[in-house]
Amino acid sequence: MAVGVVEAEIGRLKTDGLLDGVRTWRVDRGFDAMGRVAVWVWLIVGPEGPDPRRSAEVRELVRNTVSRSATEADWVYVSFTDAEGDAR
Amino acid sequence: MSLHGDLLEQAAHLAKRETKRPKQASLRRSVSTAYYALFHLLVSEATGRLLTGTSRAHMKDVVARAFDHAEMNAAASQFAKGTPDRKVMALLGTSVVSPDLAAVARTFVDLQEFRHEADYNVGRRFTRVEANDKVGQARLAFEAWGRVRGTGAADSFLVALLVYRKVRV
Repeated sequence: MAVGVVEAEIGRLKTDGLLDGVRTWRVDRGFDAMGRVAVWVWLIVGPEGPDPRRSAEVRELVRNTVSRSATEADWVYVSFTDAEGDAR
Repeated sequence: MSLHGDLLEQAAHLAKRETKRPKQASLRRSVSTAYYALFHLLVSEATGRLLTGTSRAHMKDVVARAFDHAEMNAAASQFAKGTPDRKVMALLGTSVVSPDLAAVARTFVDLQEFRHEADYNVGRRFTRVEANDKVGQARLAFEAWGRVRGTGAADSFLVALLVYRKVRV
């Protein structure tokens, strides 16, 4: 699974207006602490953080979308962060 | 307040502790503590369901120490899936996991991974937004647990957290 495919899927969600407040995103893949093949998605928002009323919904939307496109990934981690954060 | 309630409150406090430039130590402890809040909530619920009465308090403490993070992760990842494996189905009596229970399970796995990062990956920087996000996830998991606790499915989840790898089907 190419990281670019996942990035493109998230891009489609953004284009469709489903990622309100998300400025950009980063995607990484590797093995998690349990040794599973995993994908990490960081949704980058402003310093005020995500809209608390919508963050759970957005997280699950992204998780489900990425799970479908990255079928060989055992787990998808989705986090909100801001521009100050580093990837893994 | 309970240990898990106090831990959740402490996680939130640590995420907000320095108003201008948060220390990495505060943010890391916040992320780690958010995980431990959920961990202790589930362990407390499990031992409370298994052993009732004040005369069993000492047993609860012993059983609580038998919970293993990796085993709990393996069990929770099955409950989080839309299609749990045969072990989980044997405990549940069905292949259907309610959205709230799946959310608790998913959050447990999520937070444990970030707990590892927060505690061991010193090359990584956490942000306040990220720490608040993890505290928020834990808080929502507490709420979701409140809606399912006491149900048969919730009890099967608690049992799986303790003995998932030993279940034979």
